[in-house]
Amino acid sequence: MQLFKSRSRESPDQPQLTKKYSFLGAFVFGIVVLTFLVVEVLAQIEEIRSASEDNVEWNINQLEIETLKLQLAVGDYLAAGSENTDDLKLRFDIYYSRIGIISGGHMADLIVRNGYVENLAKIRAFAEETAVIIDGPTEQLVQFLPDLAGQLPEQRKAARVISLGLLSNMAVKTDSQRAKLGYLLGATAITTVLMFIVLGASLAVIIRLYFQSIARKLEVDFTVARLDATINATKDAVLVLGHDNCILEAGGAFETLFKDRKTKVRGKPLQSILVDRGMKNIVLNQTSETTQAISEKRRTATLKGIGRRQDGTRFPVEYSFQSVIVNQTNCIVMFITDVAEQVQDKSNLVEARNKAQAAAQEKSRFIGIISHEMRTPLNGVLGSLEVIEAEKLSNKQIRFLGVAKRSSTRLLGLVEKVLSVSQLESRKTILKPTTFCVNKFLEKLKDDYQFEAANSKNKMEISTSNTTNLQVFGDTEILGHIVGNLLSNALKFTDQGSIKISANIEESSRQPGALFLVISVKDNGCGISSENLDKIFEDFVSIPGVGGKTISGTGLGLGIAQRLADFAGGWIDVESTLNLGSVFTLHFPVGSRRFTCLDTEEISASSGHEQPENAPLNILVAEDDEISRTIFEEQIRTLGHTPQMVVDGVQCVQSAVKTCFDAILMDFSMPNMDGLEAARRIRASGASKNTPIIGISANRTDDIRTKTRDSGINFLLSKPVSKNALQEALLTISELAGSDGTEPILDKTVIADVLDVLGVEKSRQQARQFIATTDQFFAELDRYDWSDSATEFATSSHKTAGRAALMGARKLAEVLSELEDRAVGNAELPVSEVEIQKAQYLWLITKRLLECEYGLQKPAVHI
Amino acid sequence: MKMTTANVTFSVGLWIGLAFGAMAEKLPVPNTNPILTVSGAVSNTNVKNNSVFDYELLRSLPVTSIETGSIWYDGTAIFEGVSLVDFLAEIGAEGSVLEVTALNEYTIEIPVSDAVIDGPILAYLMNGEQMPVRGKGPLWIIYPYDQNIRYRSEVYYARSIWQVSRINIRD
Repeated sequence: MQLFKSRSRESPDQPQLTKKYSFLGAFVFGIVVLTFLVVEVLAQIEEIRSASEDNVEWNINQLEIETLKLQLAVGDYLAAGSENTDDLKLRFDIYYSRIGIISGGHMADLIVRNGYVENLAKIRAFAEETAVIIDGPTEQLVQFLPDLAGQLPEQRKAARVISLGLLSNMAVKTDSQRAKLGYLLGATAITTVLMFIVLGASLAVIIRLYFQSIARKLEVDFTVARLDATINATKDAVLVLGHDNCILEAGGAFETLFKDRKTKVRGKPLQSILVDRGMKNIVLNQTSETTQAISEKRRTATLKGIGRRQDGTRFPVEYSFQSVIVNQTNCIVMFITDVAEQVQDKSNLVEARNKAQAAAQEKSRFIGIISHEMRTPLNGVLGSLEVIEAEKLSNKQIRFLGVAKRSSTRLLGLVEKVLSVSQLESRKTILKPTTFCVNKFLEKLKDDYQFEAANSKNKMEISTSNTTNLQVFGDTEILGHIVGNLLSNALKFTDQGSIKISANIEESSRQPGALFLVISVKDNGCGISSENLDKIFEDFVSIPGVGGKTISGTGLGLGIAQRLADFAGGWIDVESTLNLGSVFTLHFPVGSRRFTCLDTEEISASSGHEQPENAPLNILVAEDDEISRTIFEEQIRTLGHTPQMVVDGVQCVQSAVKTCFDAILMDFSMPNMDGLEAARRIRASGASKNTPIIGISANRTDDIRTKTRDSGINFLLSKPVSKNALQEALLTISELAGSDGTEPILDKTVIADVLDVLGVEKSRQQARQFIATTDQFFAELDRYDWSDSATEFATSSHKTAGRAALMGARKLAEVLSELEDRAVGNAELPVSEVEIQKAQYLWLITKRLLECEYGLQKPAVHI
Repeated sequence: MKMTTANVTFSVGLWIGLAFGAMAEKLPVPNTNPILTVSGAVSNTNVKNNSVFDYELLRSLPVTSIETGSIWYDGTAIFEGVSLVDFLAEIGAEGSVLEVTALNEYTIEIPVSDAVIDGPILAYLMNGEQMPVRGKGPLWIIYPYDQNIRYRSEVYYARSIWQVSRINIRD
């Protein structure tokens, strides 16, 4: 697989290229020059080859010879004295024809060019004159012959002059022609040699390049082979993707994973071998994260998908992408891992965990049932013993009865502890917070353990700093249970020592913003060794005391204490030194109600107030911050309600309009639409029009309160919202919402009377007026400065209560009267904010119901 | 020269062919002044062992004409005469070389292989007129210089002999 091709050596090629071009230029130039020369040479050769002239020298020479022959013929004739002139005439004719040859065509031109035209003209003139005599009568010819013989030597000399002159000129011409040809041939030869040199050099360059390319190919082959080996050694299938998710190359463990040939998959779309979890086709760059990762050339997050083999079988895979540059083209490399084994392992683990959890739950349930079943007969035993105690008994019987009672009581205590463990594990316990006074709570607890302390000859002291007269909000039952267990534990391991109980209200760095009641129980008993420190909270563990002192108990006490603390949102720290003692410190979350305690009776009445078990609520939570959202969800679930989470105001309104919720929890500042606007819209129309809304704000200014009221938010909680505060608000809502029907809130007979007496129109008018004034009353409630306006508040609520009673709003009248009494009874106005909010929420419901009853509005869907 | 049987047979056949074709008529004895005497290896003879031609007898042979330029005159001229190939056939020449001699005793050798169709002629008319001795007459061997570049060379210019008076044919 050639994934990565070498891109190096690009720049070193540049000069070679230039060299190549210069060679090419030289070669082309050489070819042109050579062609020119060859053409020239060929032309020259052609000129030489096709002789355009007869042998001029010979012809001219021949003229001299013919003249001589004529001269000889004349001499012979004169010597012989013959009558026959035929031979003489023939000789003349030949002589004459020779002059003709010389005078015509190229030879004449040659003679003219060489300046012998006059010489030739003279010869011709002589020949013409002589021809007249030759052709004339024989006697005249014979008379003329001696004269002719005298003239012919002169003619011969004239012919010779031309002949010699031409001969030297011809030699010059031939020489120059030869020189030119020689030059051309020489030039051709030099050019040819140069061409050979150029060609040779080119050849050398080509051979060098050839060897270089071979070397480079070997190098690249080696790199590719090494890379292939590396890639093929991985367990991942590696794909190179081109445009449109088309597979360009496949490698790595592809063949093993997909049981298909690498070559066969090339060019196919990615979808042919991979589908997404939801069986949809994979779309690259589907998430912004993937796109960003690819653009940044880093590997994307691992995605899950399903691989598809050629035979149709499927297997789970994980894949990721990375962008790389191959041959200057952007390609996407994809890594696919077979996770079939991991998936199988995971499902095995999950199954094992579920089984273990089921077994543990079954154990808890079993213990719960057994404990519960044991408690009933034990109560029977105890009851019976008490009955027997009333009888007249002998001293011996009384003693044994005492033993039986103590044993039964202890057994009951053990059973109840075991039961509370199982209840905690099965999450059957719920928090029931109430307002209580810390110091009084501790005093009471101390009293409960006074007997045990006396038995072990221990002293108990309470020291408090900032909790004097402090009233807080929390589950006293659970708190009592935890601190009780800690006290019991301390008393068990301390002999003739002192137990110091201290309490403090403080914030913790562990949960900033939340308030904790910190109670520490310090003893000076035997202490715990550091190796045992981790074990003490485990179930059924009893650490033997120093000196082999046997400690009675189930070994559940501290375990239960820790579970309960955890359940309530707190925790227990322990510090201990062997032989010196231990300090157990409980952090218990409480509401931040800082009101002075009333007298003991009222507190006990308040804390003893039984909270009814309420149906789970369907709650819509709008919160943009993810962490807050998770905390809310968890808190709501823990409280046994069903949350539905949305992330902004728009989603909140959409959900609220569609579905009728029992309560809406809403953050004030959210993207897209803030809480106030969302509340306004929910109130305007839709299924949750009348659903109570709990607003959550980071700051609590008067401005916010007014806005809240105007927009229809019923409760206001400030961040961070503790579980108790939330529970309190939700309890109020479920209490009122659960009061199904109008009976407890409205008095229908009163309403009927009003309608009867005043008539429909007048009644409605009255109702409207009542609603308007009561709205105003509640709006003003927020603006009271409580410490100064107790009387004012008492008067207002008295008036409003009276009107409410008249209009048939029974419950509202009751609540307002109660508030009025409280305000009058104590100048410091011990009316909690929660109570005010409750009253406000009650008014919201009452208002809707009244509107229905008096026909001011259509019946509400929800309440 | 030794001949194989096949060659002998071929030669005999050839001569029989020639005897019945070209040598159908025996050369008559010329009536006027002879202008050309062919001696040597000739079979169709009329005077002693030679073939002798006067002007009329030459004209009775098949006529071939060539129009060509040459180095001896300006422009082109039309020559008429008997082609060398026809001429040699007529006289029953048996040699391989012609020794052609002019009136001025200028002698040149022409190989018989020159005697081809579209080759040289033994011209007796130039531009339709007889050629006098003063004008390279009476006979002039002319090659078709314009028609064939091969003939535009010094060798052929030398063979273009004028004022022809004798031919001797030898092996």
